[in-house]
Amino acid sequence: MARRLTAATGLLRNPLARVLIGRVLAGVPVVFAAMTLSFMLVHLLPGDPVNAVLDPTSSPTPEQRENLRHQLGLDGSLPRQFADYAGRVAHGDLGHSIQSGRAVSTMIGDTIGPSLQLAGAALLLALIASCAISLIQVSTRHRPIRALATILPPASLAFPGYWVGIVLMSIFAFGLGWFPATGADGLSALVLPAVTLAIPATAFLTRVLSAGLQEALAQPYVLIARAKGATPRRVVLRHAFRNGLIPTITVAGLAISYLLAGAVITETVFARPGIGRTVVAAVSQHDIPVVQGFVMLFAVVFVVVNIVIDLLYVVADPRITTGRAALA
Amino acid sequence: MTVLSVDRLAVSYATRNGSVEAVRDASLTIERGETVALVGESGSGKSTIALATLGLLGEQARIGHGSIALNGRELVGLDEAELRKLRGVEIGYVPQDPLAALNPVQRIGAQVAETLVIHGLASGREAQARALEAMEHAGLRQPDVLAKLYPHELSGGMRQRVLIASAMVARPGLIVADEPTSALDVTVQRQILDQLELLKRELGLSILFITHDLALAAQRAARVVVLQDGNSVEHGPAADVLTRPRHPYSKALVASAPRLRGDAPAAATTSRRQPSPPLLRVEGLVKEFALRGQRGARRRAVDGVSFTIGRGETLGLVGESGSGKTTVARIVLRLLEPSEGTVAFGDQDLLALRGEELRQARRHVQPIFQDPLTALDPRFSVEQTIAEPLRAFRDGDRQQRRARVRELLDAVRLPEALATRRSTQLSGGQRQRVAIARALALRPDLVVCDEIVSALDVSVQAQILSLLGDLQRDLGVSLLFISHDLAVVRSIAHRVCVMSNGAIVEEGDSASVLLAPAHPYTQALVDAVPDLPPADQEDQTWTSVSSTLARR
Amino acid sequence: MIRRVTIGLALVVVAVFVVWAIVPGMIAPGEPGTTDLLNTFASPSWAHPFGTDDLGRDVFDRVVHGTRSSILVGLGATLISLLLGGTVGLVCGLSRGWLGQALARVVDMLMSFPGLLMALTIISVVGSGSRNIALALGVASLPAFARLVRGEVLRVRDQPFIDAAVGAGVRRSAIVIRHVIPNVAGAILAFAGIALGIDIIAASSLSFLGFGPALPAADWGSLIAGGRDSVSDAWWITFFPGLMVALVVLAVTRLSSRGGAGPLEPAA
Repeated sequence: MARRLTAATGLLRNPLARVLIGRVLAGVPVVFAAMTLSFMLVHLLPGDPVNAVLDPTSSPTPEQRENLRHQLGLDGSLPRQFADYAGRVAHGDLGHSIQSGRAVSTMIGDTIGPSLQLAGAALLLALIASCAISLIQVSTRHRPIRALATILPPASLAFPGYWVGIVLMSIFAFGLGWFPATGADGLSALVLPAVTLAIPATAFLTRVLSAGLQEALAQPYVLIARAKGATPRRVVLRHAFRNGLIPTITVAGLAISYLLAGAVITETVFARPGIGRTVVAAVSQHDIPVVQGFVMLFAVVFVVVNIVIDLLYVVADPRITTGRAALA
Repeated sequence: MTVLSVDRLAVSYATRNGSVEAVRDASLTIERGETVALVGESGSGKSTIALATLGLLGEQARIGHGSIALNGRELVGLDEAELRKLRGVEIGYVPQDPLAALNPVQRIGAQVAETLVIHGLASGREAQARALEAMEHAGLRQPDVLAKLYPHELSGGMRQRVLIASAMVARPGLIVADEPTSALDVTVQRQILDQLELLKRELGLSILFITHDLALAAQRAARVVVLQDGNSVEHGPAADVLTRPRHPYSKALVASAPRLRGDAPAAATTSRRQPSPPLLRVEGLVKEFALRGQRGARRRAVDGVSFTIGRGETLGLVGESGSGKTTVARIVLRLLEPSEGTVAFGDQDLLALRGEELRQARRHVQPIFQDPLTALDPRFSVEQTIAEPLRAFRDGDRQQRRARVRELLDAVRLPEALATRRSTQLSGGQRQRVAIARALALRPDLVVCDEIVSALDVSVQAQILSLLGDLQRDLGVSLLFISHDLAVVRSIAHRVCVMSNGAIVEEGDSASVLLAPAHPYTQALVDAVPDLPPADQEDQTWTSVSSTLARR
Repeated sequence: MIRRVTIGLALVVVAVFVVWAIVPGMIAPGEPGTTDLLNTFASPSWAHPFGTDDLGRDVFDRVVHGTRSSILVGLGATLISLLLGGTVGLVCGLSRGWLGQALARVVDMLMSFPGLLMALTIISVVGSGSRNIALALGVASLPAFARLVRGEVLRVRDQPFIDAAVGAGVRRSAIVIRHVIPNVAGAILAFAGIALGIDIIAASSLSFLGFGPALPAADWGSLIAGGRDSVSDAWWITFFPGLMVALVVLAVTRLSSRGGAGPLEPAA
């Protein structure tokens, strides 16, 4: 027992482990909050969910209403409903779809794969593109190129993602025939959707990265580096970039949640399998358990991503790990 | 042998509003082994000259005419690649702000060694070894331990030594030091500059020492060059320029610099104190702050402070950063609650007041803060700012308020036309006058001044101090004057309390405490302050000289 | 110089869309739903600037008539999030007790969800339609405004001129009204402009997914959805409505980023 304790405390001394444990613990309330939120949402919004599900023209009998109410877990007092719900979620039971009767957790499990693939590919593209564009912005001497690099990313945000997808589809799929327009057949089918999804992400990442780079370049330590005789390349890559990257890490992490959400739309445009179809169908059919299940999914994704970001921060920014007081 | 020769240099910057001349006609020379001080107020162009010698002026800068010769070689017109070869190797740079001047994500050792690596003079282990050597030369102990740390883990003084080490590691012949100690406490400043002096003698360095502090220049440099608005107006041996200045600007600069030693100059009026019951009595003040992350640990920012202030009296509260003086000020102003202690104003216990009673009591104790820019609401006009206290207490109607504002503007020697301007359109000195006017609007008994001249140029500082002295004499108001600058306090305070680590270590008459201190801490403080030779009373007539200074 | 030109253009664009929204009948007379089965899939021409769709309806007509709905939804959403989120943020920023902290935590947690997801969740309960989209988006963007306002209030609260006002005896309420809010307004309005652009796009996305106004009324999003299946033959049906969205958003963003600057320019 004593040995276990000393081993445990030894682990706690490692800053990385401390952060990890701390973050996992901090994630629990977030997931709990998400659960509460989705629970509350159903009850706080105007309209009786039962009415939303049942077709009012078919004049349901009171029995049918009661059945449905029971099925949705909406009978009983509010705290009781919440406790039941919480209990089920803790066991991994996210309820069952009203329409199909399938377990929500299964539905999510079946469809999450292709969506994660899409979001991941888009993130990769966005990271590469934003690094390239920001570096061009700070290093190039050609004014027109720099102007283009500065204006294009924010301007691209004005174009709706789904519309861009359709335009790309009509040019590259129908027009030139380079990529398939729909489906998920292999890597070539991933290209157009990933590019579509990557464009707004690139715009956000570029903005943060550029701002970080420019702020770093304005710092006195950059002047000092130049006073030591450093070439512009060394200044940008060795000094500005590493410092400018730090705020970008947070944004990149947040981007994953947003990319996953954006995947919903992109999958609809390109008729790709994934969570998109499921979510849209569930929303239009007022299939509340399914929607609640997806809220939980996003909460978990968010917590996991945040943990990864915090770990990355510990590695990237030495100001965070060391708790040593300044030496006199 | 002349190491650096700047001859009739002119530099201008292209801005949105046209071309701005930062340097018009500046000349200076530095011989081998010499320290030359370049003295000027803010905006005089001294930093521009420093950057010009390194060829680090930005893209917007244009060298109009003149030459800069380093070891006989002309620098103006050299292309960037050639200039890069010189930087760090023939000419080193030590900047002002130690924290921001070090890359926060790079270890100290790597930063010191960087110059060697860039120029291919050494690499790997040899570069590390030479870096450690340079750090030791700069006065850092256990350099091998420090080399592995990051900048935020070192204190301000240590960081500055690191910067000195990195500037010198490739043994350049000339060091350009741009306000290298302005951000440091005066005792640390002394240590750093002593070390620099040592290095200079050991290695035969030449130093271009840029500063706004005349006294510091006198103490540390062999020769001084005075810069006014981009023109070098006077130069010569330090002692000469500072005791017998010839140019009117230098004369004015020397006259307005506050002095520690010698008689209190005529500029700062000391009114006669009447013995009377104290206006403010502070007893046993304690303020503890909880330390972040460490459970139970507390920091005592103020540790048992007691003092009194009489009517019409100025009490100076001096100390270095972290001494707790600002915390005391905030407690007296009831902007912060103390952990223990009493503050009695007249016969009222200030700390016991709440709500409306407290608000009413504020009429008698008014604040003036340090930073003139953020102490005034950027959206308010001057009139609105000064009238605000009157409005808060419904003192008179609009007409009467307006009249009072005019009266106050007059008292602080600001033209009435400024009433409609916004604070962002005024200069630092003007803004501080507005802050004074606001503080006096309610005719308070006590005004708490927290470092109110620290952010101002020396000449402006002198004007504000003189104004404050006059106002005190005319209105009989008491001042709690907080500052880290001993000379400034000497010129305005009747009595002084010296604070260190939250406690008062010495108090008494300002002349006795500051000129013949009893406590060792005060002694160290006083010793560390570079001071000008006593002013020659005859040829410094304040009024005629103050008009040659720019209206700031 | 270029700035002035782009601002001028932006103003013109906004003016055009305002006219289309208010009096669509003047620009595109005739019923937008009139079908003309002899003239389906006609490509853009003088007679039909944006071409016709699968039922021979003039796309330009439909776009003009869809303007009001498309823009009002975004406007409504932004107003909701501005007012509600702004109030929450103000309370958070000003409070010194546990309330502010607790609210701030809640807001931070809400920020972790993509706005689209939150909007979809709300729609799954309240149903589709323009009004519901505005409500859903308004609530979904609420945390962003709350956090922004809170940040600005905290920033202003720490400035010495607030201490000076306290010292001068100004009452707390007066400090908030006369000092805090005016200094915070600039940043908030600038953000509101950007948020409007985002909301217009998001509203069109939701409409594209099928949660928009019921047929035969149409806004730009649903027009694009309608033309999606025929994009290989008739690119114009999806192209033009989307272009309109982009133009509105570009114009609005351009105008809002300029409106921020003002009396805070420091003197030379």
